[in-house]
Amino acid sequence: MKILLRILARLGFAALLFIAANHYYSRHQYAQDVRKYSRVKNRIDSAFRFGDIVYLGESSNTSFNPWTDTLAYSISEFLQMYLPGQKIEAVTHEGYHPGLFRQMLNLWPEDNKKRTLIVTLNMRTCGPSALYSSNEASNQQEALFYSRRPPLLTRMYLSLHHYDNRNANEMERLKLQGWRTESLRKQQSGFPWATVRDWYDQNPYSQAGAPEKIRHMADAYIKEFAFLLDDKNPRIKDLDEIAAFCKKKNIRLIYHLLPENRDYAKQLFGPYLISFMDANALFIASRYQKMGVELINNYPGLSGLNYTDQWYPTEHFNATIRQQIALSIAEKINAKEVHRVIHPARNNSPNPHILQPMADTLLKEWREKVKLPW
Amino acid sequence: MLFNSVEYWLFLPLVWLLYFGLPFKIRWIWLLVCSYFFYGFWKAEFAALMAFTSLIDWWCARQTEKQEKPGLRKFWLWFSILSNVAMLFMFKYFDFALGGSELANKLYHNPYTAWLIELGKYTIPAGISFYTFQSISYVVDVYRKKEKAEKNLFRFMLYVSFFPQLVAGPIERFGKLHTQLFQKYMPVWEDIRAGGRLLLYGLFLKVCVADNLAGVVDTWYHSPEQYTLFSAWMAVFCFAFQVYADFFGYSLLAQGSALLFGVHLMDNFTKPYIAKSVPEFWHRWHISLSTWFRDYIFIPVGGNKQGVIVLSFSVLLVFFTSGLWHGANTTMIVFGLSQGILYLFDRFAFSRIPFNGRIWDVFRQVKTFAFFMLTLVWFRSPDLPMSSRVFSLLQGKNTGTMQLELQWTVLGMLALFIVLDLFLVPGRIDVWFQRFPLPVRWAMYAILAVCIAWLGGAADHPFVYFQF
Repeated sequence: MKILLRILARLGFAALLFIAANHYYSRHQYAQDVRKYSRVKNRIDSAFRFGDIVYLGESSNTSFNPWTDTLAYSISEFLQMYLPGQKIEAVTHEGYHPGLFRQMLNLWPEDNKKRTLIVTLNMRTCGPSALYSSNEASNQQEALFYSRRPPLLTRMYLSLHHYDNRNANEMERLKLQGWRTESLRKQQSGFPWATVRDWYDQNPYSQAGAPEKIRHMADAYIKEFAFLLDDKNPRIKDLDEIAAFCKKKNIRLIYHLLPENRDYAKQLFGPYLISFMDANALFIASRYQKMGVELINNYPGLSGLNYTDQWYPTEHFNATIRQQIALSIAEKINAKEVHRVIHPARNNSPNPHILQPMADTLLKEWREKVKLPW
Repeated sequence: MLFNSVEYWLFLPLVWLLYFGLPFKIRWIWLLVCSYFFYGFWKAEFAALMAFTSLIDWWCARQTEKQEKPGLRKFWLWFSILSNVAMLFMFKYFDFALGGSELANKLYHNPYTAWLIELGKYTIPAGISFYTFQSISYVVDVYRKKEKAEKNLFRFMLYVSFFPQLVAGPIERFGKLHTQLFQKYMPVWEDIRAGGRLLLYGLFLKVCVADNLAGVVDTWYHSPEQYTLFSAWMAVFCFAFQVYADFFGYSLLAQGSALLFGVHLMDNFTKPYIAKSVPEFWHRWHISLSTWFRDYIFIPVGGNKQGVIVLSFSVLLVFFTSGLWHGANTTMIVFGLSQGILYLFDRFAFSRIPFNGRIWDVFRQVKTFAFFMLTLVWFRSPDLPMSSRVFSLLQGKNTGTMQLELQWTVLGMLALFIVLDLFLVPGRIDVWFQRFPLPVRWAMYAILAVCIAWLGGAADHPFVYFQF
């Protein structure tokens, strides 16, 4: 008993010390640590506070084609042009995903202001390749600051690495395990390859001796898109939580599905890879429409040439598409308010002397050589 | 579970409170369950692996004791040793030795073995080298009739898995640890107080010193050619203290945690950076491993009583094994062998120089530290070409113009550690604290605690020795 009292006395001392230190820390040091360890925390605070429409996204918002885009406006900036009567605030950063957006909502203000939340989603973030990315630990470290706990406790969590900090090796193992074990035949029992690993091991472009660029491109497309969404997917759980949060807080929520490069996926693998994209889009649409979330997924027939990354699957678009996306979102938010003529209206003529290396030509050439059945 | 995690700081008091709330007879069972939870929290498969190796070693030790024929006794001894070595090989060295081979490829494309290859390549079971060495020492001691074989499998499993020293030592001998684990013990304030102090200082070393230095060292190693010559030396110097603070901090956390349960673990470090020679250094650095090598490799192979050639061979063998133990990488083997060569150089050449006096002693201390600091380049580098690059940068070749930034907080933490460790604290930190009157002591605790909360490094590094 005596020992317990002595321990309690020390714990009491520690608690008092913590309160005093927290008081001092939050006034004198916290702001500096936020700037140092959490790149977008201040941006989130300001966006949530001042925005009528909050746009949460990743690199697709700001990416542009360095060869041809003379308009470097981001999607959210185009959106602001289309909806000049509303204040658009964007929080975007490369590699961000719904798991981080969900945590950002911890900072949502407690006022009663009507706001619209747009959450962009690229399908790749739901697959093993992105789920087990080696950058995830640093994202999660930043996300420690997306909370309302006492600042010193957050700083302690940072020192003690109290976040999902699985290292790069472990992530690589999980990724390989995912590609090796997740069946591709859940939807179609006769699918030619049982797993992603089988598929990329038997990559027809590698077997035909295609150039490295094409082989890597084909491998990357398989690894990024060949998966099927289900209830257990962590990103789906995140999207569920975001939907529940918005419902509770009476926030208008729009999920915006960024269009994948279906053109190149089709050129590479005919109907096979596209079938996963379709199934996943259908899964998202049916699930969230049931939950009352508005959805934008309306970009059929985009040419692969509109993507700024030609040799790797990303959702990075040139200005024409960014502008088209912004218009779609604006129309969804309020078609009547859309200011349809914006200046400048379209991309300036690109410099004809600068040629962007396009995957299209080489891909077509090799498709013919490989003599694919599709 | 890592000692520098929030989970551990919730786990430890809970385990401790319930431990002393239980009847004495079943306390060890609680400790066993908690130890397996501690290990399995990280990855359940690895807890199963540890249980499996414990079962083999327990069985082999029992057979070794039962058998009267020397041949059979030896058979069971070697069966145990080889099974441990096989486990180590499979999970730690397979990729290094056979990665990329036809066999590895076949195993990776076999649905039943693919997971094993992935595991061995990317995720080494934490502390596998520590607990297998601890198990081997037990079986050898039973074979040598220094210890009696434990009849109860689960009691033996507790000896192997006792959580404070499970994943990075100290590697304790059966006789010492087993007795303490099963003694009738009631909590004593002196032990709790000492344990608390060790925990506080150990966490400070890991979080404030090692993790902050890790940020500096990682930055430099990421693109070393961009930095100046001074930065190169600073990075190498910082790494020497990073690895020391990291492992010393871990050892103190282990000792402090064990002390709360009345278990006194051995000191693993006694101021290695004041050693005057390489042999002395290895008497002060990672003592539990050095003594393990002494008792189970160095002496059986020939030791120091059979002439210079046998001694040299024994030393090189020990350091080669030590290097390999530290990691499945050629850099680690070179690190180990370089220590062996320097050990022999010091023993046969340098120590015979007939100088005396304080200045000579200081020179020897600096020389020993410099030797170790430079050999750590192999320890830190991912491969031999990288270590060669670092050595050429240390000679001023191809260095850049950027200056490595050492923030005041990092510098302050490092300076505090150096002053405390090399100059102020003569023995163990918990005894040193006791010298001061209560207000001073509590002020010091408060400073350490605030440093931990406020200034911990953001660089995310598990304990360096966990990977071994």
